[in-house]
Amino acid sequence: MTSEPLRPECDEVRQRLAEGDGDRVLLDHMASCEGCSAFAAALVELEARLARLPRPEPPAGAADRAVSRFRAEIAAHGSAGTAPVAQSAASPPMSGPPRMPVPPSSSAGTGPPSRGRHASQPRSRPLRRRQWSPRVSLAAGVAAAIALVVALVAVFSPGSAPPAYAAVLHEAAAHTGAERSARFDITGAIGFTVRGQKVTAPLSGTGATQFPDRGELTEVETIFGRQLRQDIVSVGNQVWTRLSDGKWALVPIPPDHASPVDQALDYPARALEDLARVGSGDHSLQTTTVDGTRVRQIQVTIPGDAYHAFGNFPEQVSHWKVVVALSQAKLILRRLTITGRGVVSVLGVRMPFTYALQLTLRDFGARVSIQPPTGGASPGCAHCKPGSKASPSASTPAARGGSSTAAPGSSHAPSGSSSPTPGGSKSSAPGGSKSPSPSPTATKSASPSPTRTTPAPDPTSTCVQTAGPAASPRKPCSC
Amino acid sequence: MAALSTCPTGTRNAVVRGVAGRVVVAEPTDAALVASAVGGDTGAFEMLVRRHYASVWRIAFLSVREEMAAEELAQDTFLRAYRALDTWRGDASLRTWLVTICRRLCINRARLKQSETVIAPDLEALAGSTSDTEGLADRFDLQAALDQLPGDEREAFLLVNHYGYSSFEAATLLGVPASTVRSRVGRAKQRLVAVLSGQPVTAQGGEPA
Repeated sequence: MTSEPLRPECDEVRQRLAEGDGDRVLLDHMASCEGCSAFAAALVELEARLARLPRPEPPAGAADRAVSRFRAEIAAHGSAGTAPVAQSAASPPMSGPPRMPVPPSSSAGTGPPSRGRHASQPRSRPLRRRQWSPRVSLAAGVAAAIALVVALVAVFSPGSAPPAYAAVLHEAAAHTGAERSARFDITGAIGFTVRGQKVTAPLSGTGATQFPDRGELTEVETIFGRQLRQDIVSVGNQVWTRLSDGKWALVPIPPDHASPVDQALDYPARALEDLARVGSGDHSLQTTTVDGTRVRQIQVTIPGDAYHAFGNFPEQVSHWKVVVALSQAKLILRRLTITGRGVVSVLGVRMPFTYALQLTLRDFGARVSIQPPTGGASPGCAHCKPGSKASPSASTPAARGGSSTAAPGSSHAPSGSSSPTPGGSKSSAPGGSKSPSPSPTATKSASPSPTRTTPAPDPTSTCVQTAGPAASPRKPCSC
Repeated sequence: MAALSTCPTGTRNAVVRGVAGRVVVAEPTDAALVASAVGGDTGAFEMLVRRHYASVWRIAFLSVREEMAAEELAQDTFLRAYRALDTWRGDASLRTWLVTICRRLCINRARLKQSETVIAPDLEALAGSTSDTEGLADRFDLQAALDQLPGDEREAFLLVNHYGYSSFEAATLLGVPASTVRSRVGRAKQRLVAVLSGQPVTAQGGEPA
């Protein structure tokens, strides 16, 4: 093909060739036109290349999932052509007994059916109705009430079977954990009341996670009208931050200050497992749409000590409410919202606060490569200095489960007496329980990595955070 | 010679006696399955879901270019189709009818988002399907060229030349005359040839005059 200007007749010929025409006029033109002849050859080559391009195929099991959702919908809403279309598409998948068609009856629920009324019904589908009896109905009502009480006691008593929402969260954790990476947006606001004045600090940011233990976040907080930008990178147990001075600093993350939202930044699957384990009082909210994807929402209440909003600063919270939005099609975490109110003590000042943070995940499987930043280390305490002698180098069995890849030469030991969870993430069990998470996803991430250099925590070390109550969910301290 | 039998789902299959006297159970037609589904046979509709799922999913994927969102749209498509199954008159094939519903849902979704989704091209998916480096580069080039096409041309081109739809089916699906589909496909080919040969492309397609 040449790059010479195209003659008008050639333009028409090529359009016709591209549309699949091939009459004698075209053939005659091509015989005398080298450019159009080359164009025809290029078309043939294009067809061949296109034939080699694989057609996109749905993921394995997708048709089965569609059938499952169809069955659930039918169980909830009935048969073909009987319900408004929009209502069907907007409703969440539900499970339950199929709704059987009930023959019309003017006496429904008020007395015995009159014999012969449905004589026209086919014999193959006899009308079966229980005879109305006040005594039976009352007994059934009493039994139902007893059953309800028993069920409630069974659900809420210690040692009872895990509630239904936990199974959903576990399943969502498995699906979410199967993704390799995601990008996310974070937004929220924290309000403080100081000497009768209310101060609100909004924050927003974007970031990406590379499962299971890498994340990066760029966020902007607005405090007293001033914007504070912060870049945060976490790889395994290591967290670096960069403020306006442009230097990366390695900062400690107290191991007992993990929270579901924190985990969600690096590994959403772990966050869901945590919520399934410590959550209670679930409440299904109405379905909604997140970033164009229809989601079902589950509200879970977690104990006040299961989530640490302000790092080392003492805080008192009765409970946090977490709303998990899972994509309806595949139960993948799309959004996590945590809200709460309490009191935090900073430098002896007790400040009531309100807290709302929302994490929205998107672009699952996107190309994300998160590496430790170079050229930065914390100048703070000995524990935070890379390669410091104060930092222990022994590996405990728990620490050997770490899957992180730390920056060369860095070894930071966060304070606290708890053992890190397998997987080397920044989580201990919320709610004060320091036991490793037994989740399958956690086990997967706990596989030893030859590149891991994260040490075990030093139970004797202390690392006091003196930074203000930063709105950052990462809670970096400046030692 | 054909007779009717009943399959486990209650759907009527056409039993065809072959030349050699063997009984061949033919797949039930879409029309038969629809009739059964409208009559309350959910198993028949499940067969339709499995039969046409890939086609519907591809149309959704063509629009949203994200596997998970495509899956959700495909599910919504079948649910909508089931509710409106008695309105399918058989003018168009069931596949065309289903993908038309799907495309409408895709448009609604795009309106809902009110912004075009920027999603990494599915190059990794392509990369996973081949070990031939040269072929891989070739596919990347082609995919990149396809990404440069205007939306309507890309859609028409892929429907006809990659997904196997006829011009008439694509016309029904896109809601435009078949001649428009052919024209869009032609312009898309001209652009692709130009892009793949490293030549500048005009707004109308093809090489500059």
